[in-house]
Amino acid sequence: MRTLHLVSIALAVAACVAITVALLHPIPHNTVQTPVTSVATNKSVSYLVIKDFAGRPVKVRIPATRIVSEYGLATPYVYLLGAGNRLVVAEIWGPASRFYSIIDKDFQRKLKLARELSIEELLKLKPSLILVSYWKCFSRRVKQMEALGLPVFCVRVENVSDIYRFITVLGKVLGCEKRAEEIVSYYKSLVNKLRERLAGIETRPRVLILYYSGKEHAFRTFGGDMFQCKLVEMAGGVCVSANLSGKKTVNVEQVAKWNPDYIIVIGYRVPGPKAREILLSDPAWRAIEAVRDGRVYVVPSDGENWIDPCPKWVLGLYWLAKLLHPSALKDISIEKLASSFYEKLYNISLSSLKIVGDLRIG
Amino acid sequence: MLRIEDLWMLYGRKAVLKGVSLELEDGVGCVLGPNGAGKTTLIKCVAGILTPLRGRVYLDGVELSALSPRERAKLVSYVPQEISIKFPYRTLDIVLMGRNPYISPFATPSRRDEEIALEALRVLGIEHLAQSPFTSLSGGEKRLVLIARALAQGARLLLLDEPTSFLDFRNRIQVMSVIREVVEKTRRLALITLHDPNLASMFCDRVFMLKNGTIIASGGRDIINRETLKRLYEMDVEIVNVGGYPIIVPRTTLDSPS
Amino acid sequence: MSRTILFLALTFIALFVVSLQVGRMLFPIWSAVSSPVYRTIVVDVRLPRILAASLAGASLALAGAVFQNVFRNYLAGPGILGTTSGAAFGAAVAILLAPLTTVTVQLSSFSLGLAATMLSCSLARLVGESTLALVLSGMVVSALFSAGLGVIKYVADPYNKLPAIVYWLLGSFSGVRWCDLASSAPLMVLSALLIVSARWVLNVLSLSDEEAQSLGLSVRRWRMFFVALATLGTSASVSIAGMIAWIGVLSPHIARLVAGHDARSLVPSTALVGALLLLACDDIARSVSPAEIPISIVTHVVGAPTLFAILMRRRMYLAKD
Repeated sequence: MRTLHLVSIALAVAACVAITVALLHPIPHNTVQTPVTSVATNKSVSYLVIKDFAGRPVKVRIPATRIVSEYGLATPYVYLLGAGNRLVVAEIWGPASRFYSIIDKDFQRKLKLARELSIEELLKLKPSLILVSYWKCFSRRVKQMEALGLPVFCVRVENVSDIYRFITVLGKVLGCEKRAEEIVSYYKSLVNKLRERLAGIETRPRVLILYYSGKEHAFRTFGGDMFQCKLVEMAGGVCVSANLSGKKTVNVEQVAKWNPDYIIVIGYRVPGPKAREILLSDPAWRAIEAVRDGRVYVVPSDGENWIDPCPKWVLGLYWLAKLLHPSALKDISIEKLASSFYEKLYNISLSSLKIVGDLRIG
Repeated sequence: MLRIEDLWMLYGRKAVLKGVSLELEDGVGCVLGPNGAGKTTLIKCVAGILTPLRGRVYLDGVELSALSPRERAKLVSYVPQEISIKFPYRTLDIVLMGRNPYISPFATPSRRDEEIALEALRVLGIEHLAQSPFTSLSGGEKRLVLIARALAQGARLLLLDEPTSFLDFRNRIQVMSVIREVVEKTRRLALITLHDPNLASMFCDRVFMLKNGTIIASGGRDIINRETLKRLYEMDVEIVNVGGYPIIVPRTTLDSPS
Repeated sequence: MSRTILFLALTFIALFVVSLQVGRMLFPIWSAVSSPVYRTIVVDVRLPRILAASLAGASLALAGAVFQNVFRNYLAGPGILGTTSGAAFGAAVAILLAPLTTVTVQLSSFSLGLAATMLSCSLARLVGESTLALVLSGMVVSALFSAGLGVIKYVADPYNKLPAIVYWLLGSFSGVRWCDLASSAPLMVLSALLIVSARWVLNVLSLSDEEAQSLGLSVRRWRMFFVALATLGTSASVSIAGMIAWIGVLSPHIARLVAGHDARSLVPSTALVGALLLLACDDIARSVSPAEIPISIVTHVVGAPTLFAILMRRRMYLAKD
């Protein structure tokens, strides 16, 4: 008798589920069109199919007017192309928000929205483009976003050519190809100029990059696969931690073995100058030659460190080169370069920014 | 009839049962013996919980070890010494578990099973406890419930391991009387382990004295006398007759065993 | 007894229907018939997720009921034999080594969950056959895999892999699609159905091994049967949604309040309570804020105080040890 009750209940449940599904499901779900209900406009709306960094074709409505950036390293490039006002959600990491709050009054609000938004929330926003980091590309969430027709673009900025490519693609999507081209040639000309200056120089000083992690109470460095290390190589130096991979904690003994000529310090949650202070006040580090000789420098930062894979990387490159090969860049003033950089690309003066770090070197 | 032939059982390397044989025609059979004699082991071997090294057990001509656990459970029931039930099941549910050998694994007890369980409680006079949580019963009542479960099992042979342990003076007598009554009324067999020779002389039809894994004496109630008890417990006793009943009393406060 | 189950079933159906309506996008459910956007949300986003949460809740709850019964311990949960630790480790390994595909993570967590439980059982066989041996082996295996998990968390890159692992460990039904459900659901349904139909045996199993044996039950075989089914259900749940705390331990307690101790009513009730509970928690997790709350956080907040309250009310049967 009881089993009969159970069976009947199970059947009732199954029936309800079946009816619900049947009522709502005449369209097979894999042919769903973009969920953005097209509003009749006078402007012509066209689509562009671009390949993202994971090799996936992404169909984007151009020009993209509502951008969701869930990747902290992608957001700066949207601002670089002058399309910051088109960002609906902007994720950025750590102190970088300082810079972007200056150039975008509305930045804090956009930043607040940036967590992993639920699918329904994303659909509500009706984004024309969603930028995610490439390692999130195969997650279940992104798969569902794709299945629902949301335009997800996976971004990678591990080296300079990634950056050029990303700027170019963004230019296409945002409808500012001209500006993108200008920026890329600006970067390339600077890189070429430096290459000429450094041509023929045999000596390659050894450089250790450090930052201080408050969570672990330890200094960490970057491996050879990371952008910062590659930038050092581009600047005519040797990155001592090149045989490591990713971000790794270092101890003093390892540093002594490496015996770098220069130590450069960058800041994230713990600012660069503070990190240097911690380093210099630690008696263990006095064993390191570079520390004894005072060759510990803080990389300039306006909120973003100049040697991070952000748009200011070219400033970091020149700063490094001047530090490592002062005679080859004798006539180049980093300050002047930075001044013209900020004017040209962001339309702000260097003096209006607070640059933390050793701006004046050599 | 229960016939046990040459039962041997080892715990590790120690022999606990050394060729135990006994026969119980009908009625209540008691196994008397000191601690460590092997009484519990014997009961568990008959119940099928332990597998003896050697020897056979026959019930009404059927060899028990040849049966599947379910078939065996229909013939032999076991009431343990310790009450292990921790969850507050209803008393009726506990007794209903005795019907397990008749219930197929993917089914639930039928109405008939419930009736049989209720009847078992009735036979023992505790049907008023059917809906009470088991954990709220007294020690004596719990013991009776377990006996009811053994009855509901429909088994011909009831095995009870020290059914009077943890019971007070009155409950001890009550439980033994109930067992005797049930066995007589329903024509079953019962094999009980006891440590108190007084209870044995009061309630048992046949007595088996077990010491160090061997039966040193077996027979009717009359085998409980000074010589056998001295051999069994290694102490002097006095048997006094009170109103027709033999009462066994220790002779002196004990010094070293003689 | 059957009235309780009927009541629970109806409540569940009601919650199911309500869950279809709940979400960040608010629209009346009947407009889903006309609008393709809304239909997509209901059918492709919400429905598979609701089904997954219900099934996982039922599976975990049943696993909890089985283990509480088999081990005669009110605090036993699906993780007691190391299943959840093994599954967590499996997922972390997959996230660390492979690109973040759902299939590899699901497969890895499922198989390592099973492996951990089998290891516990084999270890127990070496020590002894009792339930105590099983519990101890389970603790050892859990500790082993937790240590392994710790190593992986230490080694993982803190900017991409580590957050992915931590997020997975907090559990989430976000992004569950029909294809994810298709791989986990049959196992969950099968194990649930088998446990429910064999529920009478659970009553007998809760007696001492000796008594159960004397009642004609092959204790070892049936214990393994239930442990295997509970493990399958748990592994399947963990593989689809990560670690979800409390549902397995708490649901049997709630079910006991309404359905009593007898497994005949307790087991189906537990399944329904588990489904109800987890579905309610997931509804909260996905609709309260723009970003999803990992579901373990919700179950922790709901679970711990609720269990405490129940145990306080039922002081009576706890004293009996």
